Parts: sequence; structure tokens; C-alpha cells
Amino acid sequence: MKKLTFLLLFTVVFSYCAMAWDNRGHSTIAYIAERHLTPRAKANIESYIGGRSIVYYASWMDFNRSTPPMDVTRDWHVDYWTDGHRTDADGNPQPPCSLTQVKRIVSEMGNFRELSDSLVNINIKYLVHLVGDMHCPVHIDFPTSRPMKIKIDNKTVKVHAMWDAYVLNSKHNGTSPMQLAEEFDILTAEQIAKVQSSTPDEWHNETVEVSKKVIDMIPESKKITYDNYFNEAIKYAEDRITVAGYRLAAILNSIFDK
Amino acid sequence: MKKFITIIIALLTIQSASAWSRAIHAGIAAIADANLTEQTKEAISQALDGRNIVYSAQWMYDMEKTKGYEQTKNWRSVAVAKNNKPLNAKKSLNHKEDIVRRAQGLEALAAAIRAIEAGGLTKEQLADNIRYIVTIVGDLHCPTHYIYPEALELRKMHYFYNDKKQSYTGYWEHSSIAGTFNWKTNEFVHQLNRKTPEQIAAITKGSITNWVTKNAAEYRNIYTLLESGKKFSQKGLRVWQNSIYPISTEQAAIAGYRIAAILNGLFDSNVANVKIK
Amino acid sequence: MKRFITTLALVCIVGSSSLCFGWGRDAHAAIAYIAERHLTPTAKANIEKCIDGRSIVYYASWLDNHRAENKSWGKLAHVAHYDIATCEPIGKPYKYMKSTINKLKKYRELPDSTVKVSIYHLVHSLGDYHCPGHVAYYDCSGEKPKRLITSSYDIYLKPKKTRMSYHKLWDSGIVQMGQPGWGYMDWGHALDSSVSQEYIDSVTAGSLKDWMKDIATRTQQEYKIYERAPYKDSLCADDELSVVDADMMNDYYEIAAKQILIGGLRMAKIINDIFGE
Repeated sequence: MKKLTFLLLFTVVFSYCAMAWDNRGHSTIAYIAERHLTPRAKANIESYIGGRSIVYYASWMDFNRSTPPMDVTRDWHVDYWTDGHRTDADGNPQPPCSLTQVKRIVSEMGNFRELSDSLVNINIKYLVHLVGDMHCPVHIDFPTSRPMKIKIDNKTVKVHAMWDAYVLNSKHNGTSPMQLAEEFDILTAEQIAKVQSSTPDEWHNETVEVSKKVIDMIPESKKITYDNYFNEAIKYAEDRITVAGYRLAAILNSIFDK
Repeated sequence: MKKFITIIIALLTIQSASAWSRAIHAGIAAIADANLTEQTKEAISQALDGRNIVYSAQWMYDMEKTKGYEQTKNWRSVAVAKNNKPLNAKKSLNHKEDIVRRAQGLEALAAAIRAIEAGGLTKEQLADNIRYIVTIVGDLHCPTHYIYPEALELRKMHYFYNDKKQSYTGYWEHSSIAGTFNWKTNEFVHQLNRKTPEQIAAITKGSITNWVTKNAAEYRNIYTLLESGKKFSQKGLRVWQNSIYPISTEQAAIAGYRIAAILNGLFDSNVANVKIK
Repeated sequence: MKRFITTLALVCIVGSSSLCFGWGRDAHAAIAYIAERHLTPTAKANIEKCIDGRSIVYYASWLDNHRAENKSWGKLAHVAHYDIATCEPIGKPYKYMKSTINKLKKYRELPDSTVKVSIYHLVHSLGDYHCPGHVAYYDCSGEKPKRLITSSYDIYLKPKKTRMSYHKLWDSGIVQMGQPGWGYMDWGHALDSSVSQEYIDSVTAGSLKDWMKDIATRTQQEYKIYERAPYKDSLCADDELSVVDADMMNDYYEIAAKQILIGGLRMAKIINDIFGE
């Protein structure tokens, strides 16, 4: 039984800790984006990433953030949030990270053909991941929710870990990202155009609002079940994943469809 | 190696109270979805707010603790007589065994179909009934969801692996497929949606009661595949599993085609309804 | 609460179940699926006719699952042997695979059962040979080849803070940790999105012998999997074992991805050559 417990921990906790979406969430976002890329943008992008799909690199930033030289990107994923401002973990004011990075990369990639292949390659990997992170509710880390411990069954986890490992799984266990994209990508052309028309700053503000809601939804007892939390939370998760996919497509098309 | 197998097996017992696993239900629904006509897809998409049936493949299970849906937990299985015909509701509801009283799957399925046929449903009621059909027909193709009141001891069948007692019905519900294939939802379609139109016609021929009666007869055979109490070696377990996965995967495919037949009958004016009796 | 336990159980089953088999079910299925994506319609139809209309992906791990049932199937080895000096394949694994391919060239004249097992062998073992953990080097300078290096020893997997057999890490750990939650169709889609014909031609040029030599050479000189995590007696303590750290794991994910694609493209080449007419 010890080994069983270890494996449970090993699989569920270690493999997900402190990632915004898990690999499936990020892969689904990339799939949805891919379904809305123009053929020219898709071909241009894939010529920089060895003929692979952007889906392959959806979680690349998570896998590579611990080792130099990529460790500088470690803080690009999560925004600590105090009284309406982004701070570092100690409370010092900071610009929002993933938002700043996304804006920087988009501006840098304006003339991608003049950049080195390796820079375009890594910028694609950044965008594919960070637009997803920007839309993840627990990407905004409030001082109140940061230390909060959630009880799920007999397990105690932090809010962030709860979102990583449990929310999507509560309804879509055993479903591949390819299938999830098929199921989530159901907005009409008009709805998609509307979703894509806003700016990264607005996406960020939206995420702040959603983050507050999903934290408020946690019952006072901090004991979470399907009925008192996940049933509702999954709707936010699905919506944020879908919207992130459309917006990632918009950004990539704006850069590469030329 | 052994420790991993032990862990897998240990985990299987945990969910033995569940039905077909979430992955299998979604896989079955995906096969069904691939066999819906355009007209049916359109009608269902409208009822389900643009979603497909795969999205709600196990919605009925998610809802069982929600107020107003408590009764759905009795809609997963069907009780049959010695001649394999389904027991009528009156007989099963008055049975002394709880497990028989709770086997109201066929009645619930029939009610869902009749409600859609009768029309006049609100959008929510229509959506609920579509989802019931998807989940219940899936479960009616899981052999361990057939209750044989004269042979309830079959449900206690078990085996040992690494000295741990394992339930046979629990094995069927997940590992009868997952013990051999790691298929994801869309992969069920790639692997199993391969029948010819003639084969599909044969699978979907007859009434739902006919299907259930035939299934009930056929599924009795699964209890001959295991000598209860058997102790398996690692190699023995693998060889034994090889005798099971061809059956479980075939039943998943059949369930998919039959869900599609029912829904096409209900929503496509060019397709004949599947009869209940 | 059962739902959460089930969820956990499912995560773990999906995560661990294939740790007991070959290059892991997921990698085998991914390789066969990539192969399938590159089959000509004629080759696909012809090979599927020989295997009851199923996809070759269905049989990608058949040999792992069924090898205990028949001595001659058990002999179809999964690890390939090479002369360490030249990286040329030696011994039975290469001989058997060559003979299987030659047999299949006459598939129209052979009994169905022989054709089937030959296909199962091809779609499984060719995948295994592309796994760097299935490369075993021999000293062939003496009278009899002497086994020097195989992956059957423990390493310490730093990111997961655990010891693990190096063979198992390569077999399935890397693929599952590389893209948790993915199915074989995801792997196929992601790796094989717009691979150039030039690349396909370059990796499929030459004979089986050339390909195997290529695998052994890459494993030794480019991937350096034995040099980077050298053999240590598995009886030694965790902190004395060779360490595989996060950085190495990222390289390994990339190696596995590359080998899965190459394996699939080569499998397609063989099947198209044999079944394409």
C-alpha cells in the first residue's frame, strides 16, 4: 500500500505541481488554435519547428523551465497579485509577466523573417504556452488563495495544484486533447471573431476577474467535491481553454499569415 | 515489473462499483457520434447547445447526486429472467434483492425514448433524455450490468493476483479494455468503427428488448471464463486477459452502433425508429 | 468521493499500466499510427485485409500481450543485438525480422495465420528496435559474441526522486512523462504534421540492416544513452546510481520523439513495398 500511495502522489502531485494548465489543457489550447490557423500561417510556423505541430510544444516551457538557460523563464507563468497590482512573491510591484512577455514577443515577431530561425522557434514555443497560461484562472495568484489548502477526499492540496490535476479530469478523464478540442471548439464564426477582437491586456483583466470567481466559489469548509465545486469550475476551465485557443490562433495568424 | 502490476490491480478494485469507465463511455459515444446522420447531428447539436454526445457520455453519472436526478443511479443495469427476457418493472421493483430492484436501466431507456417520440419537451428535458440514452445504452453493453436474480452469486466471483483478492465484475468495467489498450476517446473510433454497412444492419436489427435478451444470453458466458478464486501468475493473468479483450472491445463497438441507430431513428425523418419491444 | 478516487486511479492506470510492456503501448501505437498515415491506400487496404479489417495499430503490442501463449512467438525477441565495434546488427533478432519481411513478400501464398503473426511481429518489433533502450551491444572480437551493454540496470530519476530501471524508463516512462494525457493519435498528429519528403526519403533509404546500424550508431554516438547514465550495479544505494536529471529527460523526450517518427516512417516503407501492389 505504501508503494501505491507513493505512486498516487508521484503521478498526480509531482507531475503537475505548479503548472498552470496540465499538459492536456495546454495541448487542447494548441489544437484549437491549430484548427483556426490559416494554411499559410500553419505552413510558416511548422517550417520553423521541424514539421511538427504546435501541439507538440504546448507544454515545452513547463518541461524546460528548471534548467539553465531556460530557468530565466520560470517566473513568466504566474502572476502574484496584491490589491489590484502584480507583485513578486514578497509583495513588490511588478508588471504582469505572461502579458508582458506575450506583448514583447508579438512585437518582436512583427518581421519574423528577419529573425534567426532559433529565435523564431523559441518564440513560437513561448507563445503557444504563455497565451494558455494567461487564460488560466489560477495563473493569477492572490495572497489570500496562495496558502489556501483544499481538501479533496483525504488529500490536501493547494489551489493551484487542485486546478492542475483535478478540474479537467473531473469530467474529461481519458479524453485526449485532440478530442477535447473537437468538443470545445463549437463557437460560431461571429462568436470567435468577437473573442479574438479583444487585446492581450483585456484578456489579462478577464483572467483576473475569473480568478476571483473561482476562488470565491471554494466553500468555506475548503472541502471540495464534484457537486460543490468541480461541476461549476469545469465550465470556467473549458471556457478559458477554448477562448485561449482562438486567441492564440489570432496572434499566430497575425504574425505568420504573410 | 511486479510492483506495477500490483498497483494497477490494486487500483482496479477501487473503482469496482463504477460502471464502464469514463474513457469507455466516451469511446462508445464517439463511435455513436461517428455514425449519426447529418440531420440527427444537427438536431442533437441544437438540443445540447452546440455540443456533441461525446461531451456528455457520462453526464448521467455526474448528476446522480444532484437534486432531481437521484433516481438515475438505478438506471445502469437490467435484471433478466432465466429465459434471458428482461423482468418487467413490477416484478423487479418488488424483488427481495436490492440489486434487482435497482436494475431499472431498460425501463429508464424506454421512458427516455418515448418522451422524445411524444415530443413537447423543453430544451432541457430533450437534452436530458438524449444523454440518458447515450449512457444507458452504453451500460447495457457492459456484461456485468446484467443481473441474473437466480444467480446473484456470480457477482461475487473473484480472483487473486499477488495474493490480493480482485473482483471480476470490477475487472470488466475498466480493465477488460484498459488492461490491453490505452485508447483515448477518438482512438476507440479509429480502432472499432470498422464494420461494413451489412454488419451494422445486423447489429442494429430488432428491438431494444431483443438486443437486451440476446445480450443477456451471451453475457452469461463471461462467467465461464474465470474459475472463481483462481490465483494468477503474472503470465497467467496476461494470457487470461487475452481471452477477454476481444469480447469487451466488440461490445463497445456494438453499443456505439446501437446508440446511433436509436438517435437516428428519433431525429432523422428518413430513418426508421428502433422499436422498444 | 468515489469519483475522485476513480479519477486518481485512472490517472495512475493510464500512467503506469504500460510500464510492463515493450517500448510501451503508447509508443508502439504511435509508431504504427504514423506508419498508417504514410501507407498508400492500396497498401492499407491489402494489409488490413490480412488482419480482419483492423488497423495495424490494434496489433502494435500484440506480441507483448500474447507472447506467453506460444513458444515461437516468445522467441521473436524485442531487444536488438549489435557488434559494438561496427554497430552492425548480429544474432537472432535481426535474423528473425529479416525472415519475417521476406516471408511477407510472399504473403499471398502463405496461410492466413502465418501472415498474421508475421505482421504482428513487424508492427511491433520494428518499433522496439527504434527504442534506444532496446539496443544491446556485444563484443564480437572473440569466438562467441559477449554481451557488454544493455539497459537492464537501475538509474536514479532525479525529477521524480525515484530509482527506476533504465530499460523501463526508455520503454514507457519517457513517452508518458514527455506528453502525459496524450493518445497515439496525438503523437502521430504532433510529430508528423508536415514532415518533408526529403526527410522521409533520407530516413527510409537503405535496407533493414542499414536502419538498424543507424539506430545502434545514433544510440552510441549521438544519443549516448549509456555514456550519459553508465551501468551501476542495481544492488547499490540510490545515491550511488547514475543520475538522470531534468535536463537529460528533456533530451530524452526529444530522442524518443525523433525515434518514434523514424520508426513509423520506416514501417510504412516496408508495408508499402510489400502490400502496395
